[in-house]
Amino acid sequence: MLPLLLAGCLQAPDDWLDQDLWTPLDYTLDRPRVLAVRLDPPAVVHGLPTTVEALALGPSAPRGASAAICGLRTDVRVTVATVDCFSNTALVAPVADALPATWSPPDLSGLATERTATVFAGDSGGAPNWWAALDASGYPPGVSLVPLMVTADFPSGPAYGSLLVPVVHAPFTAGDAVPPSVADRGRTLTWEGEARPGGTVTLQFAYQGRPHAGGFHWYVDAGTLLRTGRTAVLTERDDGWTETENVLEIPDSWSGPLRVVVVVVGVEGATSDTLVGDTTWEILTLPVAEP
Amino acid sequence: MRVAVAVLALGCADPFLNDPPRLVSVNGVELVRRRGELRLPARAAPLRVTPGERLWVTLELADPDGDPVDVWWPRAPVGWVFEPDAIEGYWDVPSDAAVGPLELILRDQHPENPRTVGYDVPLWAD
Repeated sequence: MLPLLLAGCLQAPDDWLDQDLWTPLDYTLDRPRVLAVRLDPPAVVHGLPTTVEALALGPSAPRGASAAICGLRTDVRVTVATVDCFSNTALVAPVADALPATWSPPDLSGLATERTATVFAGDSGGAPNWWAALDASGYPPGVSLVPLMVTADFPSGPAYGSLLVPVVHAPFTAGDAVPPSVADRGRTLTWEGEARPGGTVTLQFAYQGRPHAGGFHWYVDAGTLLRTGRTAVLTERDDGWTETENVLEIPDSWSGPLRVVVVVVGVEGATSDTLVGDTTWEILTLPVAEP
Repeated sequence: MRVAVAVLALGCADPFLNDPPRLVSVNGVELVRRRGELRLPARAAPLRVTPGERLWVTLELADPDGDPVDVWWPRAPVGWVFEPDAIEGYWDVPSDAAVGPLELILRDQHPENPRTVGYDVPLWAD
C-alpha cells in the first residue's frame, strides 16, 4: 500500500527518487539505486527504537547513507504524502547520518486529534508548489504520516529512496506488543541451471509470508529476466510460506559474480494504519564462469 | 525541405525519434477507444477462462517504426507460458485460479530509444 501511494503522488525532481523502481522492466543494477528502505520493527513510535536500513546497490558500493524525515510537527498532526516536502529544508529533520541506525521519534502524545486544516506551502516564491494537508482521509487520529528519505552516497553521485512512515503519537509503553521483527521472517533464494556466459538459470524464492499486491521485485547486475522484474506468488504453502520463480538469461559477455536481488514488501504492514510495510530482501551471487 | 517532406510521407512515424508499439488485437478482437483509452470490448470477451483448461492467447501488435516488439507479462500467474519474442502463448489455468486483469508490457527494440507501453488485459470467467 505504501509503495503504491508513493508511486501515485511523486512530484519530486527526477533525481530524488528512482522512479523506474516501479517499472517492471527496469531491473538492472547499472546505476546507483536505493532498492528498498526498511524499518525493523516495522513501527515508528516514541519509546520503541526501530532500526533504519536501506538496500543501496549499483555498479560500485556506496560510501555511506543517511536518512531524514520531512514535515513532522510536534504541535499538530500532519499528513505529508509527498517527498516534495524535502525541497523546504526548514521542514527536514535528520534521522541518521549513517545507516543502519536506530531511531525513535519524538513524543507526540500531546497532539490534538481533532480535524484541522493547516497547509504547508512550498518555497517556490508565491504559489505553493506542494502541500501537506492535515487529517487526510484514511488515517486515524493518533498518527502523523511523513516521508522518510534515504540518501546513498555513491562515487558517481547520490541515489535516493523513500518510505511513507506513520508516526504514532502515543508513546510505546511496557504493556504494548512489539510488532514482529522483519529480520526474523524466513526467506531463501536458490538457483539451478547453467551459470555461465550465455547460460540460463532458474531462480526460486521462498518467503515466510505474502508480498503486497505489487508482488516480488527482482534486480540483477545484467541479463534478461524472462518473468520481468515483478513476479507473483506462484505457490502458497500450507506452512504460510509463499514461493515465486524467475528465469535469468545471462549475457554472453558476462563472467564473474552476478548479483540477483529479491525485494519483498509484506502485506502485514499495509493492513494496519500504524505499521510500516515490512520490507525485506535477499541477495544471491551467481558465480558466472566459463565452462 | 527534404526532411519535412520525409516526415509528411511517413505520417505519424518520426524518423528522428521513436514511436511506441501498440496492441492491435487479442485473439482477433480489436481494441476500441473508450473515454480516451484503448480497451478490449467487454462484450467480445476474447479471453475466457475455464479452470483446468488451456487458454490460448494470440496478440496482434504494430510498431510505427517497424521495430521488433517484445512482449512481457509482469506478475503472470502460475502456468503462464509466453515467450518475449512470441505473439502467441497459453495459460494452463489452475483449478483454483483467481480471475483478474493481466498486465501486458510491449517494448520495441529500437537501438537508441526503445519505447514501452502497458495495458491491462481483462480475463473473463466462463
